[in-house]
Amino acid sequence: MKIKNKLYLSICIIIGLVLIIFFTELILSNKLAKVNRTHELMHHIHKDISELDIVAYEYLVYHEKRMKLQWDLKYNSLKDLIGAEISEEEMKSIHSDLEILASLFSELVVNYDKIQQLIQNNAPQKRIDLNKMLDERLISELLIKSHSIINTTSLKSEKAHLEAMKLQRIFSNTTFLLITFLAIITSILMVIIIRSITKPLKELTKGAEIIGSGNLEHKVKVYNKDELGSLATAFNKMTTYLKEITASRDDLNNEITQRKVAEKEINKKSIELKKQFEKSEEQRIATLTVLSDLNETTRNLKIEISERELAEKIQKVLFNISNALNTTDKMQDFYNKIREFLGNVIDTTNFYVALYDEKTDMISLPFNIDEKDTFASFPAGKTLTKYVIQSGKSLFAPKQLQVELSKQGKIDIIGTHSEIWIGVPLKKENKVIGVIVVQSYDDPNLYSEKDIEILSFVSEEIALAIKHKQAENQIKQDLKIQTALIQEIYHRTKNNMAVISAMLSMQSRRSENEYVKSTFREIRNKIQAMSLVQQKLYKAKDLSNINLKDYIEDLANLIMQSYGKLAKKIKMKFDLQDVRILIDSAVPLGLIINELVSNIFKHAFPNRQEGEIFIRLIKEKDETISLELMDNGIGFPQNFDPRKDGSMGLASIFSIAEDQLKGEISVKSKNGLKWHIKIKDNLHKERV
Amino acid sequence: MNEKKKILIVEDEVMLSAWLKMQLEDEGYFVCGSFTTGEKAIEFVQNTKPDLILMDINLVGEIDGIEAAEVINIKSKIPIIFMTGYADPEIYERAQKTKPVAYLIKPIEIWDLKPIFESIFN
Repeated sequence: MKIKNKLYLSICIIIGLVLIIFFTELILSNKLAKVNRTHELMHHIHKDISELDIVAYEYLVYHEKRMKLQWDLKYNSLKDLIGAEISEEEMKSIHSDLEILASLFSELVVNYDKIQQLIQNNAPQKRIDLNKMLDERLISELLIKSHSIINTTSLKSEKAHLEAMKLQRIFSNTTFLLITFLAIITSILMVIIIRSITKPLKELTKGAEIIGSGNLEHKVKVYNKDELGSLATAFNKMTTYLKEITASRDDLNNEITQRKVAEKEINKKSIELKKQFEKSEEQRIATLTVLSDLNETTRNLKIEISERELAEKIQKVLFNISNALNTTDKMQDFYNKIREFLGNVIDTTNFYVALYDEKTDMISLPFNIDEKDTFASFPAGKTLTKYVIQSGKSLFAPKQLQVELSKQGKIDIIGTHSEIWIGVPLKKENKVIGVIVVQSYDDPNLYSEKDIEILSFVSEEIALAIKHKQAENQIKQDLKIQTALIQEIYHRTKNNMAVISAMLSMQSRRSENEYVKSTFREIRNKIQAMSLVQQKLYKAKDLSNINLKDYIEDLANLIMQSYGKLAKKIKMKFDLQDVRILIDSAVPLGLIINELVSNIFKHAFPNRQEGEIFIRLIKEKDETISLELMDNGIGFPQNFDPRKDGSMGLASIFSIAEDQLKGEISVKSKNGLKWHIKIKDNLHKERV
Repeated sequence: MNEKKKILIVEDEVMLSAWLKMQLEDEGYFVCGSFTTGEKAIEFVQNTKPDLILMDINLVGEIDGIEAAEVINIKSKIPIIFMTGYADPEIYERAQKTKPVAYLIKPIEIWDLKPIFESIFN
């Protein structure tokens, strides 16, 4: 605890004690005063009653009215005195006694008056005596009472006096004791505080003396954490610091001495070194030369690396552009991609592709991105673009060169004048067809002449793309014409066949011979079978193959209709898969179907009975086309060999199937005829 | 039987129109005219009113069958059947605007026509 705090605490304790003493004294003196008052009061009452008693005696002796008045006066003042203190128990009894005393006295007065009156009225002695007796009794009672009060008060007065004495003693004793106690406590506190100050001070003084005598190892004892404790700590710190300073000073002295010695040594050696240095300087220069060579090499290498990186970047861009040529269909997309890729190595803010039309001397811009000008086409005239086209060489034109060319009358400047303009010709088979251009309107140093190389490559790619595109358009155009031509041929063939068919029909009508008529009909049906192929081909998208399913259905129906009444009761059923077949196989197969179906209508149901034809078409897994044709007619006669015994038409289908189509054909005659034809549609290659 | 129904044939292939005429006459119709151009057909219709016109779309004259039908439609309400070698959707759509009774793809046989004729005349 700090000394300051100790002092404050002590003062507080002392003030507390003083206050306690003060209050104790106050209480005691109060009590004493009260007792003294009682004593005084009793003494006063005692005196007054004694006086009252004397007055009463006087009255009893002299019976003067003045005395009665005096008694009353005294009594009243006494009563008032007691009345003021009536609250106390003791006073109450005195008060009541006093009242009794008053009533006795007044009775005595009344009685005396009565006696006097009786005497004056000469009342009988007996009565006077009676009253005198009463008078005597009253007097004696009065005296007794008054004495009793006097005694009581005198007793009480004495008692109060004794108590006052006692209290006085206690009071003085207590005061003495308390003051002594206060003195002791104060002394103890003082001693404690003084000790806590003097002891560390002594220690410090001693410490200072010891340190002063040179003993820097001495440490002052730290007793408390108070101000003196801090002082002691600071003192110790100071000692330590002092010690260090002293130590370093000693070291310094030592070092100075040593250095002086060393300096001499150094001086000696430096002379030697100088000599050596001169030698090594020569070596150093040699080394430096080597180093600078090395630096030069490194710099060159760095330049080479950055050049290589740029070259790789350009290579990548060129590769991308080259790639774009193969992946984009539209020229516009291609140009956009070129601009995008090219933008990685060259600024393409202003970039256009110009194509030159020799006939009209106009330049058109199929691609033009420009900050200032938005020409779609312009007369070639004497523009920079035209200049490049005429010269057939790339042009790197800063503003200065443009102005010069303009002055020479070689070019006219149209549009916004650019700070730098590069144009590279687009060549197709050594002929300049256009120019690709990049330019800047604000930065004359945006491009270098090296950029021409990159643009040259791009120009080659664009020329190639244009060439491709033109070739592609030519091919598309050719294909369109060819398609139209083929369609026209199919259409004409079909029409011609229809005309032939019509002519045959009309011819047949002239003949009445049934054989002739049926021959004509058969020929007509054959033509129709072929014509139907043309019709299907005309409708087909790829002009080379037809859907065999549709063809068979249509053909069978056509044949049936041509037989009119003969075919009325015959129903046809189909189970046909979607099979595509080339024209080269379709026509012969059509002729076979025509022959077989016609034969059914002609021969299978001779009695015009009800019948059924069933045709099934399947494409097997090995691409074989399998065609089955069945009827439930009468079949072949016994021992009938269709190859030998049949008509010319029947014989022809075997050779068509086997020789022309290189297929298989077989027939079974059981509950009608069952034809089975197998062909492979791979004899011919697709033509379109 | 009632009076024979009058049919007009407009077809640029003479052989085909002759064959068609022959067959129609076999079926009991009267072919009142047979032309190879739309212009002549229009001219003919101004004087004679056929009951039905068989109209080829591809004709040799300046106008095609559809245009001829449009002109004929303005003045009269003769049912028209188009016959064509093309199944071209554009032509088909154009033809439909003239509201024909049928649109047939060549080759056309009598059995294609008979049910249509019957539905019109009965």
